[in-house]
Amino acid sequence: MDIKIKIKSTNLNVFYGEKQALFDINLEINQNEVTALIGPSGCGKSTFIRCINRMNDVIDICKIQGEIEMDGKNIYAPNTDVVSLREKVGMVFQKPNPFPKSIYDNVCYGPKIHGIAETKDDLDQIVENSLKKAALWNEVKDRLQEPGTSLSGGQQQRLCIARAISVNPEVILMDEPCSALDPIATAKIEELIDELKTTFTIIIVTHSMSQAVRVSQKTGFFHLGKLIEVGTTEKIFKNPTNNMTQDYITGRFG
Amino acid sequence: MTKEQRLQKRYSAEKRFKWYGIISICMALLFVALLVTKVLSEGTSAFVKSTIEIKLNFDQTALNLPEKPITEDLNAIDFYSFAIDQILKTYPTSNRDEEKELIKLFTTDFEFEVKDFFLANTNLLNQTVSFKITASSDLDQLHKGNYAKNISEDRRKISNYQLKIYDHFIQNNKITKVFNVYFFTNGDSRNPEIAGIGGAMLGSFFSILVCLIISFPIALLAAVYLEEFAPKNKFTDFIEININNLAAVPSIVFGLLGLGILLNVFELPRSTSLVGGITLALMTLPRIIIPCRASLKAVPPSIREAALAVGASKVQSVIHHVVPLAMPGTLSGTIIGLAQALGETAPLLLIGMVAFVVQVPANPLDPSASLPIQVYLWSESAERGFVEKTSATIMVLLGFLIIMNSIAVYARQKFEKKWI
Amino acid sequence: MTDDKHIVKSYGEELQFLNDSLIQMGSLTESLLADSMNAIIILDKDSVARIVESDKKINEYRAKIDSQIMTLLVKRAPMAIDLRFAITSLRISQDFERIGDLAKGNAKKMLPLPQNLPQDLLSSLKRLGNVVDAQLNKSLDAYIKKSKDIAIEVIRLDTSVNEHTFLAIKEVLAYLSKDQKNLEYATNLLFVAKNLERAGDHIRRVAENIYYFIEGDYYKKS
Repeated sequence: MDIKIKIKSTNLNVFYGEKQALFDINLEINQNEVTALIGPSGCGKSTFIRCINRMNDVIDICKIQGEIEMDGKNIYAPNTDVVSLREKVGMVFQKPNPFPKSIYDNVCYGPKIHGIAETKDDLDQIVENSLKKAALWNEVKDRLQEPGTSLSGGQQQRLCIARAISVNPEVILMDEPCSALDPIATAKIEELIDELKTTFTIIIVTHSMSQAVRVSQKTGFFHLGKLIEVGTTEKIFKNPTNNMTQDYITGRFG
Repeated sequence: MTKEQRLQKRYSAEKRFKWYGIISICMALLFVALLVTKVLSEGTSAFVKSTIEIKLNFDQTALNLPEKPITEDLNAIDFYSFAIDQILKTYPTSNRDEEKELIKLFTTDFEFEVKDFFLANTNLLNQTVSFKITASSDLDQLHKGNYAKNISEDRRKISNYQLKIYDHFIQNNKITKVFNVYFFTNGDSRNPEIAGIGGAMLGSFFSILVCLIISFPIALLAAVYLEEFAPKNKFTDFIEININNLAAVPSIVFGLLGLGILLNVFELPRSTSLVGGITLALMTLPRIIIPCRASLKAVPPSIREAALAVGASKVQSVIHHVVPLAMPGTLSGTIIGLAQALGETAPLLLIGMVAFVVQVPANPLDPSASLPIQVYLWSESAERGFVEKTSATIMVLLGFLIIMNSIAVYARQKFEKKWI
Repeated sequence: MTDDKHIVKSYGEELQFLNDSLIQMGSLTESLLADSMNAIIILDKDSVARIVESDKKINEYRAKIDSQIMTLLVKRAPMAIDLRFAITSLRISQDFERIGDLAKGNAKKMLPLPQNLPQDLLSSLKRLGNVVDAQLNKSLDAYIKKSKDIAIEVIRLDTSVNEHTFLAIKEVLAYLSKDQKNLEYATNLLFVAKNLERAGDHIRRVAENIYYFIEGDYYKKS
């Protein structure tokens, strides 16, 4: 099975006004793999993944230099349609943020606005598939009309995952998806990530070293806006090359 | 100072503070109670009117009707003379003056009351029925106890002779108080007993309707644009400052605007609810924009991000998610703004809704008054009968304001429950 | 020990404590091995009881270190170099314990030997014992200093151990061939030689683990 590069950043520099947040990031993300980004707070991991679905566009003072290619095409090219980019690149946030609508409406919103579903039956099917893939269907199939906010934290996050996959993306970005959840909910989501990687490419930002080890195949270590080391998860956590990496993962600084 | 002393001091300070609060609230409630008591005591009597019961003998010959009368014959009846005939039968009179005084005890509209009654019940032909005619305002006020009886006759509105008739009617239980429908159905009148707020209510209703239709969409779109789409620069700051200032502009200035632009430049019909509505809309715009913007600001950015991340465009995220969540705040702001507009007098005075309008308006293009203006007009009137009507109108106005504010509170609670 | 700049101080202290425990266990093992060799050379049968006691202490250390490592793993989820330290410490303590057992076994094997054993028979054993002692001493040195180079030296010393073992066995077999009734004594001496060779293997493994801990990869003979 040969590894295909899904996303590649080349000399990526990101500025918030005068302050530079990312310095010359060159990182390749492989298809159908989970790539973990670790590093202390404020090191630029979230900034990096928000560049991939161009969520940083909403911040006026944010300036991007360099390229990010997905499937060989630069997503920062002038005539890129951001809306269809975000259809291909979904995002799950740190704090679960379902829409204050019914569970059904949460999941069918994306397909509706992208015109993916033609009929009500199509929509029903998409909602069911997404919720099944997110391991939430059995828990909510009898109460699809209840508000999404009536679910527990872990269920809400799985709902957000279902929402993200309802538009059939190719990449899913996860920004510390489990940090607001209890251990059991976290475990369920980690298992889900493992299953999802066969269909999607996943990039996960996490503060939990053990989570990165458990779920990812490739890990990148960020520090103060620079990509210090990147490699297979096994190498990084068993015997990293860079001393700073080792100091961080063993808890000598951070 | 020891610890206990300090603690004691703190407790007494807290108790004092609590009492300051309670006293302030009591004072405020006292003023409200005074207002309500005064208005209630003066106004409740306006909801009833005195009537005099007389016998009406719908004799065919007396009505000058042919054997088999048809509709035109019925409409051609001279109800005025017929009614006077029937009235004069109620009490013995010796001369023309006494006749006049007797007739003056009844409402000036007596012929129309009899006419409407008969035409609605034509089967009463050749029958004698009892019918209650509205009493005149003087008798009404006398019966309600608002006229002093023990002053000299030339200082009274009721003459001695009329008093005798009144006492006679009282003894024979001819005078009763019934619910005053005219108060709600009739327009303004020189005669207090048949004057009503029907015209003013509809005038207010149409004005508020026009105000709502114009101000709500414009305010909503303006607030959404300014909050979500407009770039943050000096120009938009300038607009924001101006909107906030507009909310504080005295309402009479908007009246001048209405007068100068709407009436003089656009030559819209004077005294109409349409012009009143537009003027009120200009005044209400900033009062809706400000709470709407605050509600939009209160929508957490996580919702917007979630919508964008799923591939919604900026416009879609705003329309599908942000605006519905800002609706409770916007709606309650709107209702409160409309409630304020309902009570506005000064701008409507300037655009002429202060005319004496008898006809109840059928559409916003008919001239009309509004409720607060009706209060103003009646309060200026010399007739004793208008005093109670003024207070009653204030009660109706306050009633509408309470209802509208309650709807605002209810709507806010109901919508907010869903969104948490 | 890797430098102690853990953010959680107690974590660093736990690692340091483990390190010190191992050094203590190693020293005890070194003493035991030396004592055992001395006892065999001068045929001091009274010291056997003492030697058995010392071995018990080494076993206690093993249990103690085992428990420390378990706690470390469950509490700290160590990564990278700390993880290698925990795992190699486990293996090294195992090897030390085995060396202690072998030393004790050797002392016991000395009990039935007669006082009038020829000195030159024991001298090759003595030489073998010195080489193994030196190897153990060096491995401890490598551990204390966390030195890759010293560890490599220890690993290479293994060939010398094997050679000395071969020489000792040759001498014992020669002694046996002189007189058949020396069989029992010879057998014991053979065991002693073999045990020393095995002790050398364990010491080599200790050095390999030290190398793995430092480098993150196993030593390959170039």
